[in-house]
Amino acid sequence: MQNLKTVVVQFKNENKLPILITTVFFFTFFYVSFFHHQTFTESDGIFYYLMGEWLINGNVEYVGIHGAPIGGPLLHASFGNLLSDPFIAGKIISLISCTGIVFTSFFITRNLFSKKVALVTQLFFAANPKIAHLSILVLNEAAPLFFIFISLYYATKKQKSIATFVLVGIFLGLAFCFRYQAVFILVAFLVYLLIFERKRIFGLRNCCFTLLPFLATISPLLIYNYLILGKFSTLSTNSYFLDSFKFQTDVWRNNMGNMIEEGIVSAFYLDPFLFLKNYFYNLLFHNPDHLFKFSIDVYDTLSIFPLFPLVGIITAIGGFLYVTKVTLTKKQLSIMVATFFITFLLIGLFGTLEYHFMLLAIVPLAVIGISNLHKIPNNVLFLLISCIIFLIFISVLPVYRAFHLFPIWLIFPALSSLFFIEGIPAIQAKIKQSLHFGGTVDET
Amino acid sequence: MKLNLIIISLFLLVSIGFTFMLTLGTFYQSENSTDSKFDILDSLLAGELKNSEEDVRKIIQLLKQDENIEDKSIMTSFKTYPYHTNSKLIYASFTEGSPNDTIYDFITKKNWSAFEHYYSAINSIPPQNDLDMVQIPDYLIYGYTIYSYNDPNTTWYKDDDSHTEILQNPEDPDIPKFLNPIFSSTSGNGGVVVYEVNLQD
Repeated sequence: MQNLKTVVVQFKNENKLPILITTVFFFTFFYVSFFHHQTFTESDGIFYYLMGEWLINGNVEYVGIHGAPIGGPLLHASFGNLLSDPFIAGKIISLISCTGIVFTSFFITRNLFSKKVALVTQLFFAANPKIAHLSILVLNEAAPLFFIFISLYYATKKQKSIATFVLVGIFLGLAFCFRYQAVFILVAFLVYLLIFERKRIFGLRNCCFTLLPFLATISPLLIYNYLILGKFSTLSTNSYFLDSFKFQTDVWRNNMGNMIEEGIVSAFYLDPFLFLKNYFYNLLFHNPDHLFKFSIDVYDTLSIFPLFPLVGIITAIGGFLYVTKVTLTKKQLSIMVATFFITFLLIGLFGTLEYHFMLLAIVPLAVIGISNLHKIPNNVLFLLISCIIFLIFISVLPVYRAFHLFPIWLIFPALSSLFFIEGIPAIQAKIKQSLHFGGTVDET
Repeated sequence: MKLNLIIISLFLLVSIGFTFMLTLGTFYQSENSTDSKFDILDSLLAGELKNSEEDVRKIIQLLKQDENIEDKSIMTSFKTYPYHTNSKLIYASFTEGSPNDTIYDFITKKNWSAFEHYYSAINSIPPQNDLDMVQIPDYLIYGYTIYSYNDPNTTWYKDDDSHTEILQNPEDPDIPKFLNPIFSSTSGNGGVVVYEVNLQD
């Protein structure tokens, strides 16, 4: 007991500022949530609560949630019943989850970079409009996101024990019970383990230590889905395609309307060209647009500078270049220029510059990243891989809210903070040095 | 002062400003303005803000005056009203059907596509297992916004909702007789109209 007290006191002393930021965040949004939001108006929150109620009362014929597993409804209904007020329960779930996200954002970044960088990253989380939005509204987003963030904390730890791998699996499994997209982070972690941590320890063994707890955690959900609903997943991808694909034709729309209950393969074969056109639009324009906003709706962005969201890309790229410790040799520069022009040519031949221009920045940066792979810390690499894999999978659909991309967002404010804390002083020092050197040359 | 600290402070200030604006816009709206999302700031300074939940509470009170509300159905896209009044929801986004449909055709789901029937059924309270079942609503609650919150790049296949737009104005002479407007409210960027449906008359 004494030992535990000492640990807690030590933890508090070492992390005064992150605790202060988290506390200020909690009380600010507690005030907003409980003094300015008096009526339960969120359709999503109401629907998830009612679904949970039907489920608890055994009315399973009603429970075929469109696109989401039963974890959210169960949590909202059981906690709502416990407090006899689903609205208060939902607000508490959102507020505590978002407070947890703000708190863990410091410790995840601390796993990657210095304490100062972690602190600035945490401030970007605490000041983010979308985190604020999630913390005051009753939706089904904050709780799974919090579980994903806990798993990211363990996944980015430098020294991993068996317990670390198991905890990654359990927390991603919990998140999966609320939102299916948590599986994309699991895939990214397994890919990372198999490719980058394979030599250090037995990659396959560690994969199993993560995968098995994940499967064990989600097994009640899968069993329920299979026994009650007759399928493992309640995802209705085709209805989402019908509802949200940008490029559609009347024939496609009519046919798709008749195959709502079918899966993604049937949607692909209905018109492969149209499907791929939508996929690459989502991957290279629509979904990144919700991260950095190339278009007018500045409110729905995760950029750290919402006034001019594009600025958020520049700082993140700055951090990326800093972390890769890039030294632009003639060879590297010519490779970059060549890839830029080849990409430009390919877009001209097969794509549309209006929607695929992101490739012009991504491909040269990817070339730099790959050629300096050994310089990137492993846990940073994992977050970069997560980002790529998550976007590759999620882009089957256009996300309709920026906060759906929060599972991969951390790397962007973290890289931006790195750029601010270490990159800018390094640039300043170089400029001073070159000025001084230039002055010396002039004098001589 | 260090340059990086100035930049970080600037970034954080902008973020906090946006968070304040977004939070303000979530629970409050300006009374009159229509042209900009930033008008809410002017309204705040002028002290003309209106709580967005005010109309919701009024409508709930109004519906609760109906003694049999718990046995009745509301056709709307909002789950709020059926939830607070323990009534049934017939989900509609008011884009369903054909552009040439009358309001009666719309309410009776005459020309709704299979997908529109399906989407309405799974979003209704309680969800309907029989997709072809047509329930006549007792109330119709129509909410609208004057400008779209979607940016131009995310406007997908645009459903034509011109056949239901007439519902925005309860004083429009073309509103069918079986719809009795009982509540109407407009605010900066949109409004909500509640109709009682009397198809028996």
